[in-house]
Amino acid sequence: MRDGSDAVVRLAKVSRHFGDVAAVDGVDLEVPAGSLTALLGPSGCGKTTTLRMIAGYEHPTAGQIFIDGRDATGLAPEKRNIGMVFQSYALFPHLTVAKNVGFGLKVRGVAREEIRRRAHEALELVGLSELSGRRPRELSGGQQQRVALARAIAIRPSVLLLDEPLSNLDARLRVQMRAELARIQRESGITTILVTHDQEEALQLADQMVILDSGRVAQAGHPRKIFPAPANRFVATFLGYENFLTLPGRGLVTIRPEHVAVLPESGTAPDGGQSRPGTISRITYRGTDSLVTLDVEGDTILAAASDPDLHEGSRVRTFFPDDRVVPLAS
Amino acid sequence: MSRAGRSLRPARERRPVLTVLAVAAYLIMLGPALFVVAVAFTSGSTITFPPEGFSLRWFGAAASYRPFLDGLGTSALVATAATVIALAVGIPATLAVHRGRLPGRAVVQNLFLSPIVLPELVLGLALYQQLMVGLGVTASGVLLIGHTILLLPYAVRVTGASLALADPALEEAARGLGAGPVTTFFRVTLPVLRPGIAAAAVLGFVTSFNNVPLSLLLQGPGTETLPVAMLQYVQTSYDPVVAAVSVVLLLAAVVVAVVAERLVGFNKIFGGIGS
Ligand SMILES: Nc1ncnc2c1ncn2[C@@H]1O[C@H](COP(=O)(O)OP(=O)(O)OP(=O)(O)O)[C@@H](O)[C@H]1O
Ligand SMILES: [Mg+2]
Repeated sequence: MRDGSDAVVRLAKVSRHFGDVAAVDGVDLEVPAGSLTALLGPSGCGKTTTLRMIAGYEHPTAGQIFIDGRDATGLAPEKRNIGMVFQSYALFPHLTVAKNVGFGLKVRGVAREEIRRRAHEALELVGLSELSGRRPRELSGGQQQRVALARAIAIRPSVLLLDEPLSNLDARLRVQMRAELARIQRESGITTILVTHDQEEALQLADQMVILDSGRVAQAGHPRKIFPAPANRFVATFLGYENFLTLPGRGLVTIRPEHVAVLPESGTAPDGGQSRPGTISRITYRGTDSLVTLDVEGDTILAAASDPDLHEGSRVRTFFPDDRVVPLAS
Repeated sequence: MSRAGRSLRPARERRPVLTVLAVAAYLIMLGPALFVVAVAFTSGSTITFPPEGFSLRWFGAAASYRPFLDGLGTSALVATAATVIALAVGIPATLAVHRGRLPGRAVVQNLFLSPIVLPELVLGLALYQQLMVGLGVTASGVLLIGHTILLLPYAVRVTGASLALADPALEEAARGLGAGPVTTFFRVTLPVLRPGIAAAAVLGFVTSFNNVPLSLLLQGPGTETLPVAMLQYVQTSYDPVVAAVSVVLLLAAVVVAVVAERLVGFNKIFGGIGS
């Protein structure tokens, strides 16, 4: 049974309830071929559960899952041709790196020579071909992760599923692996779904960003579409829009701290925005700039500023440029 | 200054009190064993310390004493068979308890662990009553069943401990890579559990081999285990033959320990038992 769309993975009104908890609640999702979709949201919003349902480790209590156009809702994991990288990597401790990577091919009955060739190819893609004789415990965290990635890629899966692949790495390695992941995904062209709660990671890697809130899709689309125009307060908060206020003629709006201008109290107001008087209540130095907390007519507003003449207690004028102010559906 | 520095002293610094205590503890543990070893090599004919002269005659005597030889055979057979059966039942039970969606898994787990709290005499008496007297099961059959029940908790606990330590995502990963449940079991679950299974086997074998209460209660003609035979011997004669047998058993225990250490490592074997 084909579903008539060209999405590699399609979720139709998928829900997963654990007793009273709706971990995933009526999610619709389409993952186009060759794309990288990022599922993101705060802890407990249902990211892992969604991914596990796509992999077949968890079954929906309602809705349908299509993979390669076929209804896969009740299919066992081994019948889905999916490559999953677990948060714990889940490398087989009793097998060498090469055997780990070749595992999926071996259980598929691929000939030994072919297994060796494709395992080597996958290890080459992740830059680890010299370590093929080692055991997982003889590898660093970053290397283990690459092996897990190679193992998932080696079976040429319909879709690659990554559950917070970078969260176990230290900050420097994370940035490095993020670029590496982008390269591998681009070179292999494998349709990928990435779970993360790091918005930066999603913005940088994804073609499609799906933000989940308590098991529901809060907003989905290309990062360049979503980031400048969050649809509601939840998405805005999640993307680092700290300020929520009501402006005359615009209703409830949000604006990022770096877009709020802090100007001298006297002087003429610039055009193309709205000004409001405020008092600086706190200045937190951050290195490149300072985070300024202001009391603006009863609203608490955060602004990023680098002007050294600002002092706590100063009366200033805050300026909200029209083209930076994002109206929110209330 | 010197006071503050005390807590920072290197770990290798001598600690006389601790050393004395450690030596004392080892002496208390090993003393009786060393005493038995010394007595076994005596050339005299009574158990006296210090031994009179040196000879191997008591080893010869032990080796030609039929009840000991038969007992050794019975013990080895029962210990091996009981260990194998306990593992064959215990491993699937462990898997079901830890990984399955079993309703009432706590009940199952408690059932398998219950022999550990049940006094062996009670267990032995119950088996004797129900199986031997009631159902007419042969003495060797009941002995085997009794020992198997005795070992089940070890099989369940020790393999369970290593299963609990293993990442459940390993099996999911195997399934995702295309392996069915059976392939996953043989290619991933079992190999990952191997150290735990080896530990359970060693522990089970030794436990069965050394057991006295159950073996004593369930003994019948031709089903006396070595410890039972030794016990009976001591009741009538007081000479160094028993010491000689003990030395052989001690040696066997050391060999088993060394082999187990070589195969899987002690910390792997005994590291997980407590959990
Ligand atoms: N097996 C389960 N049984 C009961 N509740 C569960 C189960 N798995 C998940 N949940 C619940 O479902 C909700 C979503 O969990 P999920 O693991 O999908 O969140 P997540 O978005 O991946 O969070 P995190 O970022 O912390 O990993 C949570 O409230 C969680 O407690
Ligand atoms: Mg998660």
